[in-house]
Amino acid sequence: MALVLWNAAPALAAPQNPDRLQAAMIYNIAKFVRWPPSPDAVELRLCLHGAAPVARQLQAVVGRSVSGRALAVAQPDRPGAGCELLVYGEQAQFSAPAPAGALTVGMSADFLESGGMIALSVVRNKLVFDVHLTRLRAAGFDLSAEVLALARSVHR
Amino acid sequence: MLALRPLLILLICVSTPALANSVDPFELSLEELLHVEVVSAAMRAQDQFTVPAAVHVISARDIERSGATSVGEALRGVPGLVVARMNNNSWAISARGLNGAFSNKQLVLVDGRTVYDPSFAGVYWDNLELPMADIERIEVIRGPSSAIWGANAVNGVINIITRHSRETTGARLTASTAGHHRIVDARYGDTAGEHSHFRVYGKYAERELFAAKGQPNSERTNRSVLGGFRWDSQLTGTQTLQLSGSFLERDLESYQETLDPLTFAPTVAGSEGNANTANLMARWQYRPSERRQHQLQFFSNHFDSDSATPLSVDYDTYRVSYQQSHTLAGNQLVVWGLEYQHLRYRSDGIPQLRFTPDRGREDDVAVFAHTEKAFEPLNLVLNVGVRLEDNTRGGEAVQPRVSLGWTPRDTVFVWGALSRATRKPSISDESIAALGFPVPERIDELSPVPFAGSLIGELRGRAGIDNETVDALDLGLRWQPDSRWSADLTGFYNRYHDFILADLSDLRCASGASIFVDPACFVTSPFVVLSTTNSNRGEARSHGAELASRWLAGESLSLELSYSYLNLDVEGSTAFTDFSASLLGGSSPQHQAALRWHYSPWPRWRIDGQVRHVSRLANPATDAHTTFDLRLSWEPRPGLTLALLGQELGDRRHFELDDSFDNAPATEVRRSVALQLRYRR
Repeated sequence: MALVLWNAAPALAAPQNPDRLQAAMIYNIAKFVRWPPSPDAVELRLCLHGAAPVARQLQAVVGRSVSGRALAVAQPDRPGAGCELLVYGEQAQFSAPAPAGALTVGMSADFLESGGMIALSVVRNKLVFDVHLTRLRAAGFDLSAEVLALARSVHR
Repeated sequence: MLALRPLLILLICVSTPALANSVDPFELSLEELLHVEVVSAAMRAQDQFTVPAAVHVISARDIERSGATSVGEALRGVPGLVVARMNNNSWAISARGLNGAFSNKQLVLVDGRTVYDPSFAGVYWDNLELPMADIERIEVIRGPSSAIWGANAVNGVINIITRHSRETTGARLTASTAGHHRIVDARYGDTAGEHSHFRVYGKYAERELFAAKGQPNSERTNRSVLGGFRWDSQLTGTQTLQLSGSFLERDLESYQETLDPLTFAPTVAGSEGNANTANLMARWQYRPSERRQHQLQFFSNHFDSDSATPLSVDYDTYRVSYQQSHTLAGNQLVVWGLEYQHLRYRSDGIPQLRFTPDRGREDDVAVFAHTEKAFEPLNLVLNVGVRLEDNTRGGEAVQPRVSLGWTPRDTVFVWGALSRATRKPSISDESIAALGFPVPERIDELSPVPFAGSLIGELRGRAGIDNETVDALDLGLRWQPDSRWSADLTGFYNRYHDFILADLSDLRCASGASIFVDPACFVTSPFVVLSTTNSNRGEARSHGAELASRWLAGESLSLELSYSYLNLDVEGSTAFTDFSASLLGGSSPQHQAALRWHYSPWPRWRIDGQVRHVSRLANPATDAHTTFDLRLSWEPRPGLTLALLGQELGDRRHFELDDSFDNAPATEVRRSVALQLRYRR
């Protein structure tokens, strides 16, 4: 009987530090992305640009396994150098196209409009995310239907 | 699990103790993250708040912070749930009363797979050894839920959901050692190709039995070995497949209370044996669009034992089910489905305790449909559902549920539900043949003839016995004035019909002659057999209230208080069934209270615990007890946790429940201290 009909999430009513939440969100997204084959089988390199507080929070999961590789976090001067996941803070400048081979996640309001792939934002005190699926797939990545079902909007 | 959007808010959905301040967001799943509030404001996650059913959810964090090594321990302190520990490894657990080793009015599922034993329709909790750290959450639903879950969800459902294998990549090791147990539990998970994840796990547990009452020690130990896997795959953009399986091998050593077949003197003897369980589950989900989802599930369950008890039952269960959910125009949600279950069993007994017939098969079919409709201007949500079953035992059953939820303000939710649920008769209800169990002393008063010799009890099942039915009214109120404080109050009234109770059917002399035919025979007979047969001659009523309240007292402290009141009255329609009823009705406490806290005094240090009070039991007469658990944990570096766990610290030993039907001598729960380790990378 497959009556696990619902799977709503435990709702955690108390407020959270937004930086930590966004960091956790990025970590989760990294776990759910289908990554194309990579030359580096050991590390998955995550780079942040203009998101220092989030980067600090992400230190908590450095080394954890993501799709079989250990997560590494860097804050490069030149975003894109060897990075497979590029995160842009709210104020960070992002201009398309993204460096080849990188999945882009941004926190600015117009991130998708500027050519990004996944935008994180806060709406009515909750985190939401929007996905530009066409762009994401064109770059060789994919997201499962389960994750897409949780997105606020999916641009195809 | 990310799987479905909360499809049917019918029952459940969720909710969790708002322990968020002390919860690390990195431990949350993506879906959970989307529900967490980012900044302080008087808002709460809708799903938690507006479920029109009495639900309590134990999260993975609650389990970790309780230090529980078994499901029974994790369920301690859940509002409205009676959790009595009968031995180190055996539990009697029931929502809303009628508790006992053979509690049979509650459904327990692991990832949608039923784990109750068909011989008595209840759960052998010692047979449910799970890797506790890979449980995502345990949903405890109180009250009849058969409209969704099917026959036997009479007093409630305990729904154990394990983590998606994507959430369990990497290696984990947990270990716990205490005077009474030694447990090691390991898991390894990884990706398997581009679209799949898996984990494999193993658990070894050694649990020493508590000493029988009045004995200083016990030298009996139960050992179990569990192995299993789960594999999740995204087949295409719209299809997922989940496969899981596990086996459990148990070496059982126990004490059995039996009557000597010649002298009928009660004796306690050690016994040994083993039991094996194996199961396999497959679930395929197809979501062609955001508004429609199909799900097909299959599971099989095998159980065999080499009798540790005088009566053992080997069985195989196969179940296949299909369900579809569809969101219609106007956001009306419809869920419907079909289900078929086949059971084959073979029992092995002794002349004094067996099933007749000793083997059999059951074929059960069910169809169900539910719909949910919101009336937005009125802030009302109506749920209507029904499940129809045709079972080999008990025949047809119609199980409807109607609920209405009202959200007058953002901070208040009021709900009510009317439901009917059935319990289909178990193998035991129809086929038990037990002779020679000790007869309670008071039974003499019920004998129609004066009798001075030994009285020996006999119980027989009755083929064709009817379903038990409960009609229930539930009313609930939730209030969350701000994000730091919330309260959840539920009241219920249950009326049970055709309750199965043993009734007097004959009094026989040693010669086999009935006293009603040959009244003089008892004068010379060395003993008289008091023969009883199961009947539907019972009625029961219960009412009660359950309160759960949570308070986030500060950045590092959260408190959860619960209180449950239960008034249960079981009656038989004949003098004898009334007597049987008195044995059943008194096994649950009238009052229970628990206070649980999570406290992080310094970074990486936690002091968690729980104080519990359980009021006295009327029958078997058992004193009230108050006890507490305390866990001190330290995370010297990420992924490594060391903890010291004290359980049942309130007294050296106390007695929780002696089930007079389970053939096991009563044991007292002992104070214990365990050293625990969890390592993850």
